[in-house]
Amino acid sequence: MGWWFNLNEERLVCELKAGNYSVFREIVELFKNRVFGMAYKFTNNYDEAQDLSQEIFLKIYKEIGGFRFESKFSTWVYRISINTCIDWKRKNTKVKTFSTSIVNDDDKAIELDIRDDNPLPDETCIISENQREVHELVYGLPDKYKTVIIMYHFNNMSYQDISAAINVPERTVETRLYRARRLMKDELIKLNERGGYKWNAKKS
Amino acid sequence: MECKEVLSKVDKYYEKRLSDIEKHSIEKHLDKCNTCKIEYENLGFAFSILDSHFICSPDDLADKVMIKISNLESSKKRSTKLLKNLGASFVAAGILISLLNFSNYDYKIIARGFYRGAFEINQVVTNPKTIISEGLKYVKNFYSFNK
Repeated sequence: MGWWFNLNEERLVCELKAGNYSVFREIVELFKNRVFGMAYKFTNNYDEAQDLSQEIFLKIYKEIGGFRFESKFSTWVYRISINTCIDWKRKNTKVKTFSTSIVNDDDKAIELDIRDDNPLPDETCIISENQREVHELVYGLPDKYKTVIIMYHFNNMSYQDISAAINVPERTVETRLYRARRLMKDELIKLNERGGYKWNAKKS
Repeated sequence: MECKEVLSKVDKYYEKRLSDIEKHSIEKHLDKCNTCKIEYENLGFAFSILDSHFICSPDDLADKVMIKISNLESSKKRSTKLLKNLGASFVAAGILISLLNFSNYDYKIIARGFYRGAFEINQVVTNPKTIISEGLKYVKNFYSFNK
């Protein structure tokens, strides 16, 4: 067991392994915001993010018996989370759409898939307009950049932990973060020019 | 310090991974070079926006997860019980077969006995009236014999 291991996490994992499943609530409470935030960045949909978060926690619960204290517990949790998010995205490549049908001149129904970009009422409650714009920018990043941005900036993970979680060298993590930040910076400048994110106010 | 070197260290600057000497020489360069200063400022704001971004999970997420886990545990218990019963049945069947194999009785006779028993049960189910009336006859005879 590594010296970095958190005593509270160690107790929780041991109790779970002993069959006391009710302590899992404490683990959910510890990680729920970060796991949900990660799921939301991949789904861009409040309801789907809830379902995906539940799936992630269920997976963590099922696999906790295989956790050997060889890494930080949080790194292990985020590794499962990011892998589940990427798997989810592979299975759900269809964009958030709703279908409707119209009848054309030949009396044949045509199915239309219209992209629904409006946030749901629940979504507007949990996220402010400015935060939503940042969320959309991160959501739009390619997965490999999105992953490192989430892990470094939102989950406060070190290069070493990110490298262990996604199984790439630390140098690759650094390069991906470098590129991802520049993509974000360029998009934020564009957004600012269009009158979106009010970051000039902060600048002055 | 040259512009190229200064710009290559922006990320490390904001990640606080530079030595005091490096940091000082960068700040000295930024005082003189406006192009680098703008790039540093823009990336600095990108850093601050990313670092302050936070999404709160729904209040009932933990409850929903725990309901799913409780359901999972119940179904696990049910399947364990089923497996136990199935295992016990297999053991019982094994013991019976071994007894039959090691006993002196001819298994054909035993099998015939099983068949006859099953046949009689079947008759009770399919034709209960006949069996009951025959049973009553036995009772009647028993009483008349006692008298």
